Amino acid sequence: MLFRSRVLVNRILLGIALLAIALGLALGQALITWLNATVLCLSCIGIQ
Amino acid sequence: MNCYACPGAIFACPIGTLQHFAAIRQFPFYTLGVLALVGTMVGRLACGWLCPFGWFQELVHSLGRRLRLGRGRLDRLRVGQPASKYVGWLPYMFLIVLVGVVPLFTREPWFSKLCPVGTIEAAIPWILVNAGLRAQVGWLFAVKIAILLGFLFWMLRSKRPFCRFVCPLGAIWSPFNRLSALHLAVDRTSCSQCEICHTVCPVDIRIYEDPHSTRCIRCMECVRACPEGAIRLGMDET
Repeated sequence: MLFRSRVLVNRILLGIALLAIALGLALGQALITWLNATVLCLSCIGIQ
Repeated sequence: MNCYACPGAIFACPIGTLQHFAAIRQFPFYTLGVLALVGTMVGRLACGWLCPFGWFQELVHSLGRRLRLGRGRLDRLRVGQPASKYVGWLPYMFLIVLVGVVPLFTREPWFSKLCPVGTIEAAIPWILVNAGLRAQVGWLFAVKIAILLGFLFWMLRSKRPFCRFVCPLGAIWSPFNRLSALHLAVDRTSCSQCEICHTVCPVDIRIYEDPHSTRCIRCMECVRACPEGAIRLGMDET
């Protein structure tokens, strides 16, 4: 029973994750992430 | 966690990306979706097999063992001691405060600014190769170096301290260990609780007590080391 419910929750979360990725792609978030890499890069270096 | 400020980086740091979305006040559907997808499939496997900083911590710790420096105070905590309950929550605190709340209000990625992974994989290489960046170095760089030195000292005496007490990416993936498709299983009839798995474990856990432990990084050291063959790696089939 415990195994079955764990697998069920896993499958539900998998579905939510795929929906979130699709929504993020539709909103152009992958592109935003890529374009802002340079700005955050300077933050990580610690000079900004 | 591969810092994307690293000169050789191809992918973006998910923690840097989350802070960026907090700063621009957008919900990070794409980043959280990718993290959840990885988490539901393999849990914290990436911590054990892909994280370059995890490997670096183990390298420094093996040096500390050779120098016989002894174990850090937090390493000596046992389950059941009051302090052990609280230190386990530290990564979640860093995730909520430094990755979520602080960037939301200051609009600056403060975790990335202080992160020792960024210092060792990005700041130091860039400062060494780029004279223009070297000229701009200020007080924040000094703070980053101080934090890195603190962690280096800590790594000498403790197993993977950043993973266990700080890493917000580990905090995101930790709960997925409970229900990921890839999981560890312990055959309790064969397990003699000889503690070999605990000795080899880079995050200092007893896998026979909880095979779905949120702290397990799925490095498989215990699977390889178990003399009874009682620990195995499984994948959900239904």
